[in-house]
Amino acid sequence: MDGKRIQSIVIVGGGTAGWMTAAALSRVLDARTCRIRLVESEQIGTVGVGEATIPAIHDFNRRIGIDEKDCMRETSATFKLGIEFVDWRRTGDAYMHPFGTYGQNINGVGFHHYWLKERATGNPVEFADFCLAKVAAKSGKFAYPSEDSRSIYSNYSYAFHFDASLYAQFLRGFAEGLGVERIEGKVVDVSLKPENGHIEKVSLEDGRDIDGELFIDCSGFRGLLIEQALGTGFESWQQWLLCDRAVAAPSANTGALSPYTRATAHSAGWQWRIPLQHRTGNGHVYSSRHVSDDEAASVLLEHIDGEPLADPRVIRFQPGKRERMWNKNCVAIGLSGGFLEPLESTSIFLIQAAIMKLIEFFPDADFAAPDIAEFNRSMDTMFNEVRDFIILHYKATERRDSEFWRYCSDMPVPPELAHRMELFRRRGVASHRQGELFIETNWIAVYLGQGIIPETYDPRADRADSTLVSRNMRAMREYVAKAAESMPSHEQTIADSGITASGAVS
Amino acid sequence: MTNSEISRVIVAGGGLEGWTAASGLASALKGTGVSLVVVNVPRLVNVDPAQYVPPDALQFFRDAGIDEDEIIRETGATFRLGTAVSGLKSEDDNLFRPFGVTGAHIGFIHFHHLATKLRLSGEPFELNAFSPNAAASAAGRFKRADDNDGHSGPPIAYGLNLNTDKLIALLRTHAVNKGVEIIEGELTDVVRASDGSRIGAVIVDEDRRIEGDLFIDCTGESALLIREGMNVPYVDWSHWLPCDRRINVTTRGRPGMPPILRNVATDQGWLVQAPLQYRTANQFCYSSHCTSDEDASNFLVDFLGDVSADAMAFGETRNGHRQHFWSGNCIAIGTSAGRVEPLEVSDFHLVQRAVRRLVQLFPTRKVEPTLAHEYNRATQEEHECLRDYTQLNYLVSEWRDSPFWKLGSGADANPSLTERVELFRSRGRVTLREHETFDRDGWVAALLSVGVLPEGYDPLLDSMELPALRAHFDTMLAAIGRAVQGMPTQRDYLDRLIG
Repeated sequence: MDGKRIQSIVIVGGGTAGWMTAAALSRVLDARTCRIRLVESEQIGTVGVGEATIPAIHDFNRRIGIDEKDCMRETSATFKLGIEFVDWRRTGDAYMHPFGTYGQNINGVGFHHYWLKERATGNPVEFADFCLAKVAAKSGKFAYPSEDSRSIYSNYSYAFHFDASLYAQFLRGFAEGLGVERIEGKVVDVSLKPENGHIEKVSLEDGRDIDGELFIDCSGFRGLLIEQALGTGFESWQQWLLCDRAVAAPSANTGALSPYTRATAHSAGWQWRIPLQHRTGNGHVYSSRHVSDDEAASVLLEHIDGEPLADPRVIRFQPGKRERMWNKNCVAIGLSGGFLEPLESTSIFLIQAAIMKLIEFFPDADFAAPDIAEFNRSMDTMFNEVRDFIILHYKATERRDSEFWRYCSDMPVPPELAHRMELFRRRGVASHRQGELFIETNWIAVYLGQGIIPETYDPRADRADSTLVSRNMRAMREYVAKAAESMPSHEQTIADSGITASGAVS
Repeated sequence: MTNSEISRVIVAGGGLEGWTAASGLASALKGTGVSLVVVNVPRLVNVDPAQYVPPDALQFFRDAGIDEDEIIRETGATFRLGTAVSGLKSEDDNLFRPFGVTGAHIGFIHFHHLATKLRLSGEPFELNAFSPNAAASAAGRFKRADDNDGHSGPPIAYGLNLNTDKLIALLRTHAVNKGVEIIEGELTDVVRASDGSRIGAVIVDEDRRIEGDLFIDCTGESALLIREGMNVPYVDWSHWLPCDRRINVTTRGRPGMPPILRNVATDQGWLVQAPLQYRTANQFCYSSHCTSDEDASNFLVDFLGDVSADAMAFGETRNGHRQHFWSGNCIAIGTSAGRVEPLEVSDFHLVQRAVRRLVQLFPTRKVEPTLAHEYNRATQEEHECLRDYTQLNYLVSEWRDSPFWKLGSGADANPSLTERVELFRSRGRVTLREHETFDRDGWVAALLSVGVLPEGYDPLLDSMELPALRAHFDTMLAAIGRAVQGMPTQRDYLDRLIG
């Protein structure tokens, strides 16, 4: 029989995850038949990581109906064309993981095979020079991509850097407009139904009880509902991802606004640099076994460009994932579901992915087991894939200058990742799985950037005449350089698009 | 140059798989210094007279640079819009499983949930009415979307029904034109290389030694290279897919008979009827545990009328797959690699997918464990997906109590299929694995046609306004109706194309 419809949803925790969930659910559910309430407390701060996004955010905005320009203006946002990784392969080295493609495929064979062929003939050329997103990003340029697939300007995508707490505020306005009720209060107790162990209600400090049928746990690392109340269990990934703390501090902007995130490796972790219109976000992600909080904070401040605008704040976390992100009538979205360091700016993506999966597998009041199992299976797959992509940055390194890096370069990685790395090293095959977030071009950028150079390339690249390939490559590279040159500056595009934030320093 | 160790590839065994491999590899590798040799062994591969493939298989021809119109002209092909399945839920039912898209997304919601919603509220709703393929097929009409004649409308997704011998001849000509060398003779032995890890040579006609760097085993079920040469065992699926015998016979095409691939379920097994331009290829699949060859041939004479038992060709089928498809320097393609009962797709489908995958992962060393692992993982999943889809046809045995259907109802033991069925039964949701032959709409059509009816639908559908949806549907139906009306009959379309 068709089950009873869910009439009441309680989201515990505001912040990015809570308000993204509220905004999305209020868009797909009818407020007249399903009440959505969000409980948050002003006493509890939000973590506010994930200020950098990836292009998948467009999908969320489009499906939820968020106006991009409004959102950028309200969140002091800037454009992002990729992530620059400094000192990862070895100190003094830098590469970009751009949101764009390199060169073009010829006769169904990937461009990187021709690049490898060219390299083997003793004409080394920079791979990154064939990527417009990279060349533009490094020269501080940004223009909206073209929708005409014949244009070189269609070969890239973009994402945003924004202030996560302003983003939560922006989404709050959106969700409240669609009927979401916000309840100010601190959850002090969670009651379970004796007959099936489902969550019955949450109790607030002021004595109010909030009951519901579906509970979304957006309470952050501690997992107030999914772990503290339901004891779901946690799978730790600390054997591959050593970093378990971050120390963050914003700083004043200096110089031009770079249209990319920077991730600089340090001796026991790495530091993010995220340019917003009104300030720059900085944070040092580190392994507490290898460096103390004080040392980590001083490394952070040493590498900040502008004047620090606040005292460094330490955030603790554990890399890993909840055993089941959906358990009984509770779905964990955000850090309560799993945590991966923001090295590839995937925090907001993973929230978005969980929301979209929840919508795809939206339950009835009888919570059908096959649907929940399928939700959990696909979220596990997604987390594992992103995890492996992040581990790749640590594993494929030439650095051995600290205990931290020696551990990383010696550690055994998950078998699937080991196979993929070997497949690329051996013959340049960047296999990517169906439905995976990172596609071939992302893997290639990081493989090559981290110094995994294939032994051989696709033999089909030999069908093309070598001299012709060389000549075409030279022409292609010049074309990319010229195309980047004629793009407007990042600041110019922000000003021209009418998305300058009110508090931004120009 | 890649400094490749592979300069000579031996395709052992001709036949459908051998010439598909030779032609696909020759196109991909022309100009790279790799030479291809086909050891064309007569009568080695017991091949079915017709091939029936889904839209995906046409990609093989595009990759190989073989013109689609030429294929249709040369191979007696007809366009295939889906599969008509009958005898499944009752003696005279007739369910069409269309290719292509059925309906359109409703916000985040897949279209078929609407059918469930209306069914549960007691309102009849024909999902196939929203399939351009089903509409065109029912009307016997057809047109390709890329025909430049001003007509527009929802595109028709099509596969092909082909004459196998003519397809082989076409692929052979194509391969020879690309420089493939042919050696005619019997394969009498397989010799390992000195280090034992791979094949060094095959022996033709007792004394002719053919050496190579890479060997493609297209020797059919005898699997002379992968089994005898490399000792790779076979994983048997006959407990899941019960047909182990088959009879092939061709009949004259009936004028005016709609060109639809038919699967007819009977008490003894499956009759697959593939319409070609002038003939119909019939294949009856059954189990030797339940039906003798004689009974099967008698059934076929009764069913088809104008055939004599003399015209029938009997064959064996062993459902399952090789534990590794690629082992050492040997890659098994075709029935040497595995087989899934050819109810809706014939052998050519998995063969062409294998060749395309090998092109993508073509090695540069004689032994490539990493490439082989990647190839094997994907190929195995592909076989499993097709197995699940095919086995689904045995789930509805309730109204049949013959021994054959009792054999086939052991599907509970296949957890992968059970999960798919339970998920769909619960709320109409479909899970897709990585290497499916059938897409979401294909699975939905199959699940519904075998009688797995969802007990619920996507709850979010209730927040949609039904009257607005209905208006939208009327527009869709009208567009499909108009498009089909403007198409020629498939017969006319083919006649014009053949010239």
